[in-house]
Amino acid sequence: MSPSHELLRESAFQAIELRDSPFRYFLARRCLAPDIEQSLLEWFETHAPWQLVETDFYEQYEFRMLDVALPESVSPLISPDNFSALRREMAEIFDVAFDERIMLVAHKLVPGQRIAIHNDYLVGKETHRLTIQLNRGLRDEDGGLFMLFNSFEPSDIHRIIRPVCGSVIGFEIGENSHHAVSLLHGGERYTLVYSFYSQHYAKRNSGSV
Amino acid sequence: MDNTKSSNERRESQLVEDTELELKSMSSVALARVAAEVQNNGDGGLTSSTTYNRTYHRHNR
Repeated sequence: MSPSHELLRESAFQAIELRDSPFRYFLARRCLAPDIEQSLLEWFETHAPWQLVETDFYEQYEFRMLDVALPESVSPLISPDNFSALRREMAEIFDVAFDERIMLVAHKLVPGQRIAIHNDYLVGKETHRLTIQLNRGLRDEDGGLFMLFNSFEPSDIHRIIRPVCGSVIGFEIGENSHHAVSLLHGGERYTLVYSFYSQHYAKRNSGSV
Repeated sequence: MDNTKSSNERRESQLVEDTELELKSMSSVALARVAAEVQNNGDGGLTSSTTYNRTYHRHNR
């Protein structure tokens, strides 16, 4: 397998910021090599099978990457080797053992769309997320900002993260993992969203869950 | 070891500088606007995180 499609250890273990509060999350510079980022962007912009999903708290285009035939240039993303590498990196970062399951979904936001504050928490379901931003360059005034909160109150903002292309946010899903994406005003904002399932939920907090 | 640590710290600092939009740099009006943009007004979007229907807050499918 081409090393260009592998998670870059440099991003996972050096250019990384790991926080424990208000919930466990990390930021990283990069997860995918630039060549596959470009291939993904081109496919997302042209032939990817986007489906509009509308709910009361978000509206976006999306599709499951594992349910479609991927172009050869991006198919290594779903290879067992890459999934294993990602699982290993996430396990090291969060000190959690994951089972074999990984879900991979692509999201697209266009101007006028947003994702309201929510926590992704559902007992017995996925426990960790890894999100990778893909776009042609968004300015602050374009919106689409990833917001982290201290509570379910939208004014109780913990941090605001720009959707820098290639940048990564990973987090542990829980009752406190409140996050959102602000209204997109310009451009298109793509995200790869990986979901992981812990074997023993948050072993660092064993006994508490 | 110290050099490595310093290098890592610089990388982390640069990462934060590039990706984080400093709350202190934003006006109260701008903060209020983005907060309003992400208000959850759905049926599950009650005021308490302990009372809403959690399935409603699952975004990814």
